[in-house]
Amino acid sequence: MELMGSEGELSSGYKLVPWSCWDQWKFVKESIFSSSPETVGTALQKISAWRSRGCLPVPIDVTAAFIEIQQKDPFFRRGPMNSTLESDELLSMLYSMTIIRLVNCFVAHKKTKCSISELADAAGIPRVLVDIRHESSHRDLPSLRLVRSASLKALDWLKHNYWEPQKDAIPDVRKEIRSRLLEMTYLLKTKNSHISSSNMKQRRLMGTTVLRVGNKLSSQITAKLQSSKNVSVKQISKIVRIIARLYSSYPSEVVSVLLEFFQLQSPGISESIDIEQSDDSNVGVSGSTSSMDELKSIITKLSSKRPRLLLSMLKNVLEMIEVNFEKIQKGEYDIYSSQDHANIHHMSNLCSLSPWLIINIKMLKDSDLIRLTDEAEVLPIHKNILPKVSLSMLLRKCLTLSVHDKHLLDSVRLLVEMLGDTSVKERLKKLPLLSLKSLDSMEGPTYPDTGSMLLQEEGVVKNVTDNLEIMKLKLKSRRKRINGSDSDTTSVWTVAKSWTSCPIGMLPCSFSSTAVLPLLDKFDNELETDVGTNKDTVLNGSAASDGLLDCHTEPSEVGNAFKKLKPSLDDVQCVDCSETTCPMEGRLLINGMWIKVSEEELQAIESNITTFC
Amino acid sequence: MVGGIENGAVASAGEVIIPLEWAEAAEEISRASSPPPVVFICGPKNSGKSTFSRYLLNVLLPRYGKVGYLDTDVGQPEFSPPGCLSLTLVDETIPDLMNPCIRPTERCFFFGDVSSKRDPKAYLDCTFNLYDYFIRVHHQPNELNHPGKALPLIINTPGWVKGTGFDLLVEKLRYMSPPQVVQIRISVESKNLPGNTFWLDNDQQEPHIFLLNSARRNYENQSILVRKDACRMRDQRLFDYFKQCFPSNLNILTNKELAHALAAIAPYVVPFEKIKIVHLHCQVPSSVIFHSLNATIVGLAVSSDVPAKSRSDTPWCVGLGIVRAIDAIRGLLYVITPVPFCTLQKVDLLLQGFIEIPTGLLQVRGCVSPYMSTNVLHKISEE
Repeated sequence: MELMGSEGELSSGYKLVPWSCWDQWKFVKESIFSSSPETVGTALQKISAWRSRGCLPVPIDVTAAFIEIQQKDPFFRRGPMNSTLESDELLSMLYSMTIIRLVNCFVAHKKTKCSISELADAAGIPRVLVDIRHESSHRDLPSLRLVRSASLKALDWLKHNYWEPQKDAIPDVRKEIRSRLLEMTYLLKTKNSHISSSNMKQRRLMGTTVLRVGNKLSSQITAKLQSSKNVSVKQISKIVRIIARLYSSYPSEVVSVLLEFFQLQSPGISESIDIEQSDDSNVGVSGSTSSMDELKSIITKLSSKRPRLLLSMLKNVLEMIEVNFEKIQKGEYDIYSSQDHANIHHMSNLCSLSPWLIINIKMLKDSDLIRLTDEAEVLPIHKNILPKVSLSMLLRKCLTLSVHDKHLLDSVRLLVEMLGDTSVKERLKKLPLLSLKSLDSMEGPTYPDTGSMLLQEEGVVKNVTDNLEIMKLKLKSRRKRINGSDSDTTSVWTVAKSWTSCPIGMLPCSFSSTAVLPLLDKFDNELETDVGTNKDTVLNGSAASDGLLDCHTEPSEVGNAFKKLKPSLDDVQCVDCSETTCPMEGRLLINGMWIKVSEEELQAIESNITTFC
Repeated sequence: MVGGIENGAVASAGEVIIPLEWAEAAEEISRASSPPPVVFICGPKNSGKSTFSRYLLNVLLPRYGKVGYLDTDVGQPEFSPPGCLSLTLVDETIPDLMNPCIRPTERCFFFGDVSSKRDPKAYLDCTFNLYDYFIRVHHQPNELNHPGKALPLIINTPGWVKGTGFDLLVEKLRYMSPPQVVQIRISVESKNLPGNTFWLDNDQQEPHIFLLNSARRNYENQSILVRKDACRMRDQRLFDYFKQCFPSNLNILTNKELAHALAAIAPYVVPFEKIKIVHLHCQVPSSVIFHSLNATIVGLAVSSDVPAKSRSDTPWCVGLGIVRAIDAIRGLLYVITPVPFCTLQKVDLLLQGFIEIPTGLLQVRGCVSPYMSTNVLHKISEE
């Protein structure tokens, strides 16, 4: 600790690292010291991938070397012995070499007249390692027993001087964002109360409710702010600038903290829902709607600085809606429990946010702060790249969700209007689900209600049979087409259609055009085509990737009916480059999602329908 | 920067000073008639090898119209991005004698590191393959299938002249036995190469050796070595290289603008299954290949396009690319490269190496790559 803390500097600047997020680093840290050889194996593999990128920090490299040798040493390796090294000589050579590297890498002996042992002592490197370095460099090879036990000491030293301090040094971005948002809500509140001046007391009461969510910091801020009651516009614009800067560096974190902050992300801990009514003139303002207003005003302020924020917000909101609807459909929520009732209440809040966001996107588009992907393109080489939004992709996403909620239906209408394409409008009118749904959309989100359920079911069955016929025809014609013109000149390399600016190493999300860190675990490409047959592999595949790897995977507790179709779900979310002319082709609307179906599955569905009738 | 070179004598253009000695040597080399000269240039780091070879190239051009340039310095290549060994045919004068510039190469190998020390054998194989290619196609064009004028060749070498670096130099000299050898010497004798024909062990034909002093000397006649920030120069070469992805009329002036433009440009997409991926210098388990590949620089090659009579199975490299994103679910690779679309169609091999992507490309304002991180502990810095 002392060593890295004092001499190894904690850089505030950016540095090239081989991992794409700290969660990966944490995964390796947890796995490499595991007692299970398989877990250690995955960590070692990950480190070899990092090593191949050429910027692997030395302590990781040396740790991996020690662990790998120990895996080869029958003394440490329990279980199957077939992969171990039997020769003591070879093993002690491996250990010695790694010890030499460790000592030499961490002892800066150039230009100083101190001896290695003095320097190593200063660095806190165990003396035995220094002796082994000397012995194996200049004299006989040390005994295996000695170097073996030294390897344990070395690993211990590495843990204390690299792994632990680095773990502690990982920036807690969310905490920082949270405290800045706290500050901003407070400033906005005091400003508002200044203006409307009537219900100062009440307002401040509410202010503290929100502040309660935070930590010690909040009380300091409250104290500080209350001392200077006049909140100037300057202060607000300053905090907006700070948060905007945070957004530039950590876009996804800011968005998710924003949603979490207003208790839209993880409902349950919410106290503010049914608390004090303010006797403001507004329509029955409960705590949550007023916090909704705050959220909106924060978003408006931030998005004037960072227009892209709107898109990322919309992406997260739509994705959360998706996850929540799946839960509802799965029957995870019990409408009689107040907790879940609150959840549903939050859902409708969430849904209502989506048309609002789209209206704002439209406003920014009208004032030329956001561009559409299909607009004539000049390469943006200057600093202010305008974020681009692909309306059709967004529309597609909203459509898949629109079965559930009238707000989403509103979103669809807004988007269609923005598109200004009359043919799309006409086509959408024909869609039975739009007309059907607009009837019972008055009820807000769908939760079990026998009457509408039956009606819905009937509608769905009708829908499915209709779609089925169309689908069959399309499948036939498609097969013809494929058989006809597959063999000749298909170019292997193509230029990506619909691309939006995003950092190198990331992919743009198809419907919101925000950058997404891609999953990097190898997927078997076969999965997508024969979904029906090997569900198990599909499940394992996606579970592994969700759990282990990525900080970006959404919490995907997907319904059972849904699980087997998971890969095609991802399919919808990713940028489609070899886009077919009709995006809905080969897909069936199941549980509100357009899902790719095979011929066999269609037949299975068909047989189910006959028994139904 | 340009003027004054034409008269062939002491030319001083801006900061470039060409000593009389250099000018005379270049003159003499250019007079060698048949066959055209094959000039091997060597000397310690920062002594002016590249400057002399650029100057010589300009002197040879008027007579031959085209000059071959074999670059064996993988750390600071003249016309190609770092990590490449290349042969270039130059047909126009070099305006800036002080700085390298990117030009389309005739043939190129991706070595995948900035020093030959990682794999001397592969390095020599590539060098000899390029040399053989030039001799076969452009120096002895009497064969039926390679008609045309015989061209002169300039061979530039890295400044690593001690230890293994010396051995590699000897190997190259023995293999090529060039008729003209230019050795540039600096005032610190211990850093120079031996002054004789150090690579010959018996009575082979003696080449013409030119011993030249480094151009810049102070009043005590000590060499002033122009130290270069190798890392920054390499990054700049990569910037220059990837600038070619854009039409020149786009007027990209700064590296920042370039980084923005590269983040925005629509990349090429290629299905993963159509591509073979090979790391030139280390093992990568196939299960973590995407972790290894994302946001790195790779060499693009056609696996069947191996040079004739090659001593290894390394194919020619058609250019570099950046794997800018990977969609593992769909099995797609997204690659940015200036390689023309028609050439790209044949590419089926990505060569990984240790050519680090410049951080300037990853650290775009408002668009920072996930591979750039703050709060990274690094190993103890030297006091």
